[in-house]
Amino acid sequence: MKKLVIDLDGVESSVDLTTEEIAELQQMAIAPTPIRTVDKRRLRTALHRLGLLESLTVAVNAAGIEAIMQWEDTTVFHEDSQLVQALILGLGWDAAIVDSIFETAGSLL
Amino acid sequence: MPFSFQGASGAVPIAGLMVSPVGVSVVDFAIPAGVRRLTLLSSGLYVPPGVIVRLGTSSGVLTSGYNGVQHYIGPSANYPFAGGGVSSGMGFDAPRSEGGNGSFCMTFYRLSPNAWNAAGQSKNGEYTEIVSGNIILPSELTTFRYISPVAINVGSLQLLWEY
Repeated sequence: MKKLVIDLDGVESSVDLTTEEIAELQQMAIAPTPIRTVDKRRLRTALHRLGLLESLTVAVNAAGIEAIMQWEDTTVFHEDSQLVQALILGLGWDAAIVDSIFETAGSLL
Repeated sequence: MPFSFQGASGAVPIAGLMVSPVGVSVVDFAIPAGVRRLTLLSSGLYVPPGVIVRLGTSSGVLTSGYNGVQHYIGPSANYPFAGGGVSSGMGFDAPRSEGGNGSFCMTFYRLSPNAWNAAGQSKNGEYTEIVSGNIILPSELTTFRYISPVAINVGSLQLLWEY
């Protein structure tokens, strides 16, 4: 692996990385990616447009009173929340479906 | 490709370099003495998670001691104010845009002889990232390092400096 070194005159040279530099690159922490959020109105509209609202409602009702309360009282849903992840898992939605929900919701005014 | 602009008095208030560092993960720029402000611009560069900028002195490039925060914001309803946090301290985070493609700008100000403040933002996509931070160097700045966890495959970097 190489690094590009540019001196004060703008002269470029290619230099081998040191063992320590290579190790650090390999261990460099991955920056967190943002967690998607969606408000309830956009989420319900997106689910309706994608034909998923009914199955989600059934899943929420089947999950018990606390899940129902959480669904009804939450105004902004975070993708990594326990409820959202449990519903995704329970409904068997894959990443493409989840992406389409957030993309559809995100396009709504 | 070095370049400079001549001021009316003959001084050189701004100068810089533009490079296309394809195939490398680390880019070191030598910095002239007396620089007060640096501006880093990327063009068409893929910026994966984990890209950082470090500053160095004649004793070497600092690998810790960077204070910083980063935050994601965006015009999409999915990212109204989508979170962020305290940076790792290993360097200044380079701001990313959706998908890691596009452009960003970072500015570094010398607040006192060896204290530097950084601020930056990425090109607007579905979300943009804003970053801010600072570090106190043990001596005068001599090196500016851009580090990508994976080799750069496309795009260019431009570094401007002002006295």
